[in-house]
Amino acid sequence: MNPAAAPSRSTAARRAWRRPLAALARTTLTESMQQPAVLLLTLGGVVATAFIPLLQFHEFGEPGRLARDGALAYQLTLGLVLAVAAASAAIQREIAGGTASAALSKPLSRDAFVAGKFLGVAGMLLHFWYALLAAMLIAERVAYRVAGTDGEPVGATDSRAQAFLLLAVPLALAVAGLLHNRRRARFGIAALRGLQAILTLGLLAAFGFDRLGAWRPAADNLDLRLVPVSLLILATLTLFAALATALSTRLKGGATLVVCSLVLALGLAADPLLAPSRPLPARLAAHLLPNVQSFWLCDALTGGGSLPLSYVGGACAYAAAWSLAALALGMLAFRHCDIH
Amino acid sequence: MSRAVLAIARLTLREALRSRIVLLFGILLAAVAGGLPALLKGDGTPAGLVRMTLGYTLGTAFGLLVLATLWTGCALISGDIATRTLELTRVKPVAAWRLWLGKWLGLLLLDLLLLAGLYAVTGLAVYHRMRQAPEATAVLRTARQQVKPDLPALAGQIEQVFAREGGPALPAREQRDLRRRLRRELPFQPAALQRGQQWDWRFSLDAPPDPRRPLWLRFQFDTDAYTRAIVQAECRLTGSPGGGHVDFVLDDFSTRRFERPLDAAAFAGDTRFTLSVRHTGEASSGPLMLQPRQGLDLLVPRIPLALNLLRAAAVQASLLALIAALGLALGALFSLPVAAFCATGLLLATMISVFVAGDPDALEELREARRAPFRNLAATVAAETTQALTGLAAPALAPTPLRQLASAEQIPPRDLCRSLVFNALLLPAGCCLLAAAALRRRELAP
Amino acid sequence: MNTPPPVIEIRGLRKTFRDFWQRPTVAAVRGIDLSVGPGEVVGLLGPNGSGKSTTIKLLLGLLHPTAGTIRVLDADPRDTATKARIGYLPEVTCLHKFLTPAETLHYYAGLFGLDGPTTRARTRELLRMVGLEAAAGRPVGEFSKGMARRVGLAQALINNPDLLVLDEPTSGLDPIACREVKDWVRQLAAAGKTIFMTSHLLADVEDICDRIAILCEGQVRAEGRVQELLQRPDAVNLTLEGLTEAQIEEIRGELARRTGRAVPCGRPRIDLETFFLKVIAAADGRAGAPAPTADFLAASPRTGDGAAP
Repeated sequence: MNPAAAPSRSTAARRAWRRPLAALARTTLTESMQQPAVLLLTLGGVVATAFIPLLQFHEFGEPGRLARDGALAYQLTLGLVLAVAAASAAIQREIAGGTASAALSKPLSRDAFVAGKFLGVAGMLLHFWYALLAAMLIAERVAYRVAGTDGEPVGATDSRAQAFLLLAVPLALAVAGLLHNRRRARFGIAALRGLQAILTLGLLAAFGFDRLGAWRPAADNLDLRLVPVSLLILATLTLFAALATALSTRLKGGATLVVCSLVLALGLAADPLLAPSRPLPARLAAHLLPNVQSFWLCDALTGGGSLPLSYVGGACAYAAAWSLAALALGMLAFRHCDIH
Repeated sequence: MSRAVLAIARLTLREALRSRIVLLFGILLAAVAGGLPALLKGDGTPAGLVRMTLGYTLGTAFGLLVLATLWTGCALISGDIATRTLELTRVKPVAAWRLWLGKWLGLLLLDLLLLAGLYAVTGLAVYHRMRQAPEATAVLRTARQQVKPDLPALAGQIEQVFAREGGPALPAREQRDLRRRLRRELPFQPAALQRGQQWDWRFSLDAPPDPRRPLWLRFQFDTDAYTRAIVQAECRLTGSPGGGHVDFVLDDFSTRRFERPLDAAAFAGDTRFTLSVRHTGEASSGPLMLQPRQGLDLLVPRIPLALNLLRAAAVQASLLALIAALGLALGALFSLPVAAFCATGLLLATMISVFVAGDPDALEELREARRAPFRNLAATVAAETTQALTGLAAPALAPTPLRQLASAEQIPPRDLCRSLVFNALLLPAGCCLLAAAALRRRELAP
Repeated sequence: MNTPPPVIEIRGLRKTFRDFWQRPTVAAVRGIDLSVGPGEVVGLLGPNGSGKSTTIKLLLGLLHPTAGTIRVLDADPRDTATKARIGYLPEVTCLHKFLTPAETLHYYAGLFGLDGPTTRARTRELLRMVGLEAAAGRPVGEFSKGMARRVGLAQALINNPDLLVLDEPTSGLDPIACREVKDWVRQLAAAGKTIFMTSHLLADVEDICDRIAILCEGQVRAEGRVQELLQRPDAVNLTLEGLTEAQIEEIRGELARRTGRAVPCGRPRIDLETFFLKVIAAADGRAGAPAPTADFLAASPRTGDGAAP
């Protein structure tokens, strides 16, 4: 054997934990996406987003605002429920079902187990987030507004996009049903991926055609300002997924949910809690807990405003750091936990 | 009641009381019931603070209880199927409907316990506040019977206007649309009182008022802001002919809705009243506008607040019974995630529909969309779905106990009975039949 | 003389599981004919996936047959009146984790409509019988698998059933508990109960069953009385005690002379289970102690609600 061709010890060590970690993350992703709750919440979010332009009785002084704010709110609330539920179930279900013992008896460290679980859940959240972002962009496009720059302005609802958005979910379910029937494909995953594919086609079509149906590819056919705001929501979901993963190494599902709800409530009230007149414990809690207010910035889009990418980068870095800290604490807690 | 049903109910209650989640939820409810009154700032008046305490505290806590009941109902049977504990029960001599009934009774008992605790804590908070400002909150100590003026029956009025507008000659679909429009608009049709004119409205009570407590007249005028400063009305409330009367002047229309207390000592034994309102404002003042079906009430003190609280609790308990039944039925039909999703979706759709249906403008916009071409088919579907859901849910959602509590209005016994019969008996019985049929067919596979 | 009807009668039973699109996926039971008479102990054997548990669930009305008929106690198994006379121990004992054993038995007694005094008396006797008196106040969620199984057996007997259906009754139990379960089954059979059990532990079935049916791929491959199926009509075993080596050689020589071939002779072995129990009993000081039985079960055969037939 040629010693020069053999992998170094550090390379071998890296491969030693990367492959099991990737395998665990992949399995967690597949299992999470198969859960009925993921499919139902994603479909529910897309349907609710699709219906917002139908109920646009008040524009709040700005066309598309109701669709924007409503869709972002759905993405955040449903995403938080999904993040916490999926993350806590991923670990607790394995421990209760005995598969955690089987996994940890393999050359997989406990730290890697926790990390792999988190990565799998984060991957599932990414799928959810993308589906709702796509629906949000199309719904905002559908919302009633005055359009047309030549001659008389025309008030219009983009009814083609509306029809497409409303049909996306039944179409995705039909395709998934067909695949399940013919190839015994997993229905949940097929439906989610089908939905993403259909919505992506819709986005491409919306990019190419303007609101009056003319072929005019332009970036302003879609309100891309939504993307940075939605990225902040993804950062929030990832943060809470990390928190729930860390907590569920020791706590059962209900307790994890309660703690995450408390953290969310305090996080939304971070600014008042930080006021100098507040007692020390309140200010300490506000410093330690995530400042969720920094991630909910749909008001930044009011009146044509936008979110600078530097802010998004900083917020995502903050979320990543907080998530890593939470996961590190979770790993420490899991190291000495009895698995039985 | 059969021992089996009681055994299942006892088991359900026992499992719930030993569950940490129920304990945490109880703590959450206690926090809402105890903490929310402390946080409320009110509208600056003691009576306003009490009203908000009643409305917000009970409303928030009841909302949480509805969600918790719905999801627990979904989990009770579907969870037992998933954990296979239902197998050992299904092989026992217990009919499927008894199994459902036992679960429903157990959940209902738990709800009643939580609801009783909630009302007890809120009631204590309210009475504590009322003791701090007894005179300012005197109006809230007694719940008042809401008496509407004697007006022609709405159905008859609708037919009259229908005939007047040429309804019989229209095609069937347009006749239906016209009747629907009249049903929507006539209850809100205002009466206009020009300067120098007089309105006379009659009120009929089933029992004479207590002469020791004031009567109240509640007005809601559709008066434009620019006329409020210069409109004046001289009013007289008269009892039996030749009997007592009370005169008063209305000259402050700064708020659209207000109540006026009147001394009831002059009306001993009277059960028929006439309210005369004469517009005596300046020559340049506009008309007084009022919707008699919505904007005029005679409020007669009848029952103490405590009894009204009990009635409100009973109405809300009946709603919880319906919610529990719905959750259990869905749990018998579907797995837990699907049942919870369907239940939540149904609840949200119904709430949105009722909200939309309560806003005539919103509903009109949806209906207008029907007349547009295909591109608004989705809006048409939304309009019809809204109408259907509201129609189905109307009997269940008709009572508004919290609004009545906050307004110091008596919850009528008839509403209470209707809610109990419909929400706590008939609808749950339907859910029971549906669930039993599903359970009998459902296979508990290995 | 009228022969009593079979307690269980299965004719042409089939069960095919289907997917969401109603396409057949697994044919778990493919045509079973089986009868169980009153007072019999019948074992249904088979490898994993042969359809034993499916047959049990069809018998109890938990699954609906695709074809064929099932009569239990001369009635439809889905009738609630029939269920009042059946006791069932599932393969996996799924109990309510928050309840204690006593509360569990009270609950199931309630489902049978038993009154308070009867419930309390039977609960006491059954907990004593299964050896859980000391743990009566602990939640079942804290129990080991064996302890949970005992609670499962107790709930199967709470109504003093005429027919006892046991799905893998000794699965997961240690040898001592296995022996106790087998003793209980024998005592119940002696009291006139009909017992229908499944197992893939052949030694257990051989010990206690009168008749067996062997299921494989959803069909009965062999059926009959244990003695008749296992006995070799062409051979004889002799067991003699207290012989000297010289006497043994003399007998061996005589048999060889008469039969014309060498006859194997050796010392017989006791089975491992018996040896194990002896060792444990000696260590515990419980040598020879029979497993207790609930008094109400050891009495003359009764109908399901405790009343005399």
